[in-house]
Amino acid sequence: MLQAIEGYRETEKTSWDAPTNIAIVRKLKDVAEATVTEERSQTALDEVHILDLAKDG
Amino acid sequence: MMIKISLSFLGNRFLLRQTELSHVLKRACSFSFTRNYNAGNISHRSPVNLATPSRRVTSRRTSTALRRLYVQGDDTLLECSEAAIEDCKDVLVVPEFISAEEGELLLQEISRTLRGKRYLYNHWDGVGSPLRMRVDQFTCRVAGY
Repeated sequence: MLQAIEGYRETEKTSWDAPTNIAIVRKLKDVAEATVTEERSQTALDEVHILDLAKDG
Repeated sequence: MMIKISLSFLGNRFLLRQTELSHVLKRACSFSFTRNYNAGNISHRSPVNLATPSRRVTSRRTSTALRRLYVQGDDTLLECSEAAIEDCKDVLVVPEFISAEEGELLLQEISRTLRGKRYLYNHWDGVGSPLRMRVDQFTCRVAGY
């Protein structure tokens, strides 16, 4: 049986409360967009996908 | 507590989602960090099974979906992910991009977002085919877990 992931919580964030976090995520996206070379893939979507793995996950 | 965050790119979101729910998820993630409760701070670590090679990443579309930011926090992770990167050249590596302090700030806000949400057990067991599993995963996500 294929087991990709277990014991996790998942969410997506489109906005951040703390100004510092906004800057951190912006920095992530800037690097990502600068690194991706394929033209149609250069814009990162607003949603940041988050997985929280349990201790035994 | 181990957190993984990842970015999706325009035009690839669904492909990314498919990829993340395949067996390559744990080696294609973007950034992960774990809180060291005893020390009161966070440290970076490798996602488990990171170096597990994927033999299904063969199509160009799937390969494109993996072309995203890969952030790592230390040299250990680089060693762990070396095989995976070699196996899929579209996984990008940006070392030392987020500091521990920045990771802690993100973690604090993410923890508030996740509060009240329950952990899911292995969502892939006893569900059926991989396709069916992906559909169920989408359902859970939409339901707000």
